[in-house]
Amino acid sequence: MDYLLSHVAQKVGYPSGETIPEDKKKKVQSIIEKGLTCIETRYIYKATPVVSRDSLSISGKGIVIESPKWATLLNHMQAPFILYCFTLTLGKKMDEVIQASQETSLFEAFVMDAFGSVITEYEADQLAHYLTGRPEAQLYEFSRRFSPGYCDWKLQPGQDRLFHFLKPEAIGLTCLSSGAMVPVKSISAVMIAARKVKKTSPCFFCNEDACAHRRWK
Amino acid sequence: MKNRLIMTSMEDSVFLYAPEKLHEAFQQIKSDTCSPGDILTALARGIDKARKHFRTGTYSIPEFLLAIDAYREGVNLMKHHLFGKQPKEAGDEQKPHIVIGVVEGDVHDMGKNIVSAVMEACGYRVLDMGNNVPNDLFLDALTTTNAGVLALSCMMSTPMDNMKGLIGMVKKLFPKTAVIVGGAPFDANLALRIGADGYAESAIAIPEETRKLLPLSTV
Repeated sequence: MDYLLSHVAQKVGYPSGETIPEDKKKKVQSIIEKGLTCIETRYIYKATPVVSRDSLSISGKGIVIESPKWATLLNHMQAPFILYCFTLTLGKKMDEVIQASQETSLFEAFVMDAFGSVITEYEADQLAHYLTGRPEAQLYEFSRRFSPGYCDWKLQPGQDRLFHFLKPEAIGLTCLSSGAMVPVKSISAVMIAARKVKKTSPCFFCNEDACAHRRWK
Repeated sequence: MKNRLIMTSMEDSVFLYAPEKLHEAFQQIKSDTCSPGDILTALARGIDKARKHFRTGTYSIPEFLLAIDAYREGVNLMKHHLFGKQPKEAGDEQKPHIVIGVVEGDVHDMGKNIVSAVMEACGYRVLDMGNNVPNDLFLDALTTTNAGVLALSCMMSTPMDNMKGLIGMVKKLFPKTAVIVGGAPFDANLALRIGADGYAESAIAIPEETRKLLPLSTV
């Protein structure tokens, strides 16, 4: 609970869990407890060897990642390369509870929405950890996970390519033409596996200092 | 005098999010000595106080949202317990109309819902179209309401072209309707570039931005 309280607190605008006023803290904890009962996580993943690459893109069997920055990152890795692709969703119940909350309490909806975002990222990290810990992955090192919309990988057609490859409709996850996913509390992502990974993301050669996803100062 | 104290109590109940105090205040009101307008004004003053405290940093967003929840509780109490389900509120039809919604292709609506509540609290009539709204539904809503402002929310970059197209159509078909935009991808420059008349940096800032384009005294 402390972990969740701390991350949800920061998401909603408090510096930390300790700085939430006591009367609000009880409300937030209660909302988190309610949120925990709404999670119905499902995921789907697929790995494919990289079959070709150029300065603009990386291609696996059935998927192309059109990102010059991530294609360049392969120069800092040692082949062979494998693309690990996954989508994950908390399920539609979380979306429904957030929507319903908005009718009765914007405070509850806001905190629940923040909780949903925190848990989605947490679950994605857990899935990434699971994938990198699998027996067949032990000979490889991994990049950070990245998603359509990160760096220079355009949200569309990036999302289309991932959805065509993974077919996450099987777990109840769909994608609008804009790239927005439904249910909203969902993630689509890729990790690059290689024999050796010297740099885990393109941030170290990227000039976008204000990027929200920056992982290298 | 007694009514004034009750109104002050209502205002404080909203500002401090004190629902028990709000209920107590309502129990003391008599419908023949107090109009819906008086009550709404008191509740709205509470929201205004909360906005001011948010600006100075005394309130964070959660506190502000609790104030909005209290405001909405007050409006519900007024409608259902004091004046009946459909109270005739003098001057209601004279309130300026706003249409608000999340553009087609986007389903993120938390910010829009907060803005919608704030604008109601600030004295506007709000028609909330929801999320992922096709352009033609926005245009139909403007035809029906003759709204002075169309507020568009978008949290993604991909619907931007479509949004620009919608704003162009609004300018052509409803030249008296101002367009305000808001959401993560925006700043004041981008808002201007896509043809909007105003940009709402946050739910706190939007009432001032809206009043520039659609004063509350406008009929």
